[in-house]
Amino acid sequence: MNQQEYLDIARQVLDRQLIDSNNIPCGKADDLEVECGPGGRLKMTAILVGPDARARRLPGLLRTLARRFLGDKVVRVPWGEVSVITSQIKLKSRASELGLDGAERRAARLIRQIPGA
Amino acid sequence: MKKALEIFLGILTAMGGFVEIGELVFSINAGAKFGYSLLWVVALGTIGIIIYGEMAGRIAAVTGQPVFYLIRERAGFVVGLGTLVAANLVNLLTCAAEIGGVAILLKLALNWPYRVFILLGLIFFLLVMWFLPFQWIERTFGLLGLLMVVFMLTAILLKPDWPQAAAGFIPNVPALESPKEYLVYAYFAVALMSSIMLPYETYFYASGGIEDHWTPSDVPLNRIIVTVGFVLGSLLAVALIIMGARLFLPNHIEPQLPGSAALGPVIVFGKWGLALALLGMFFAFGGAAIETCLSAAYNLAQFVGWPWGKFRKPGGAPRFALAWITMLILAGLLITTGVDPVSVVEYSIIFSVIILPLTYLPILLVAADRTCMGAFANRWWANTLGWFYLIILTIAGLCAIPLLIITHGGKG
Amino acid sequence: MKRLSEILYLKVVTEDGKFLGHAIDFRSAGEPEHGDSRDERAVDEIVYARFGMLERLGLRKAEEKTIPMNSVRAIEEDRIVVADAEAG
Repeated sequence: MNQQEYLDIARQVLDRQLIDSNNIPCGKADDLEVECGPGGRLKMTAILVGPDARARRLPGLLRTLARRFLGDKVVRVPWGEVSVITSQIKLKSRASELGLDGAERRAARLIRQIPGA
Repeated sequence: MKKALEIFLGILTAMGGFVEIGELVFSINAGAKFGYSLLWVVALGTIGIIIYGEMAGRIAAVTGQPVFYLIRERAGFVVGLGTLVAANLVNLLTCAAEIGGVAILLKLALNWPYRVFILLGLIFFLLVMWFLPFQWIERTFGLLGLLMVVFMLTAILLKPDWPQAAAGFIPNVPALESPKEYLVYAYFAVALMSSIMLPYETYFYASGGIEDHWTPSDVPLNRIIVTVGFVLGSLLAVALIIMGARLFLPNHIEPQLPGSAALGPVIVFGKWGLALALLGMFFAFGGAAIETCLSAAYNLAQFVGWPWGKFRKPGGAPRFALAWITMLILAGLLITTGVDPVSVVEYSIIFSVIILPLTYLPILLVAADRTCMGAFANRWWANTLGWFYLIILTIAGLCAIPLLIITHGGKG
Repeated sequence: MKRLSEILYLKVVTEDGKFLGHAIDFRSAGEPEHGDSRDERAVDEIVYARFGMLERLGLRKAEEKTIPMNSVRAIEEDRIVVADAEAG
């Protein structure tokens, strides 16, 4: 495999699976935060994860419905948290430290009450 | 030695899981209406599901990634979401139909109310899916689904006209009485093909490969399992067509399914035939209910990025667990409304063939992609056959709704 | 602060309105992260191509070209404006 000397952020980062330091899936790169500077400068500063990030990629009415029913949470993962990029994006910290495990923890509270979980 | 056992069990599981209520309904009806003429569709569809099943399994073994990761990454968020919604709608309808089919079978054995059996069936599936590990579920339902072999024996003992049956494997259009009949024939061809190539078969199979922790060394194993397993499974569909042709066609009977399916084994084997047929169908339909339910949860979790997999146990993948529980309950609610499971499955199959190209195209593109698959990317024949089927399925998909409307769901 | 989804697939046009294609990616120099850490990544080039339906579906390989970011004059709501001289 060629050692690639660049990173294509739409095809190699956007919509990729995020895994935390324990290799547990913790969402997708639902969008990326970019800063536009003067003179056409552009830099990517964070990964955005959450229902709000997804909803904003939908057109018109779907977007409104999605934000109404699925919530408006979004978690910002600073780019400095990215550890290794392969076919997935491995982060340096645990999902809980990054604020990415909220929904999963709430679901776990419910599920773990059932014997055999 | 261990690999040999794994291959052997994999083949039997694939075979036992091949037939579900959709194939059963359309196979028997195909035989009852058109004799052996539609056997070529079974052959065509089987080759198609082998091609795409092999690709899906290969993708899982080589990339370690499930199909919906790749769909979202390559086709993008919006198209991926569309595929997710479409695939899961088909899953929901199919799951509901299988649960209804199971309830009908139970009602044949014990004359309790239909809805009680739906509830009992739901509880049974919930318990099985909650407590049993993935492999146990697959093996148990797959192997017990093999009791459907009684239909193969029945078909043989009904002494079909073998040369005539063999002729049915060559694509043909029989001489029919009216133009309307030709449209009904086309409708059955489309529906039968679709029931064999339901998308959950490939997506679920790939997720299963990851549940089983496949690696690239499992690529040959995958190939053998899909080829031998699906070919053997297709023989069950062939047997059902033959049975329909021998039992119902001569008397112009429109069989009431799935119950009337058991008539064949009863006639040939008596009480034992009935027991085996009902048990076989119970596990075939039940296995399909579980698979479509899990497939919906896999699709959702893999698209959104949640931890997923039975191997994580419910506590380790709680949203995934909630997803399949919710899906099962929704399917149960849908079928409790009293809608006929056979009608539900007809609609799900027709809808499925419309979205089949959308669900199969990403599999073909990823399996052919050298950057994902390296040395395991499609050879020329896999690409050729893959595109051939995509074109056929697109044509079938375009014809599906017009045919459904004009033929009133195959009733002519 | 923008999101990538807001600028992805925007039309790329020159200052005098010539249509070049759609922005299909944004390229940042430097290897993909493998253990090292950066707080941000500068985008150095825009990858653009004629991006019709066939390319979107993955049926036809898009002919990709790149243009360096310092040729970009403005990123507007519905397009990206670049300097006239075309880059390879």
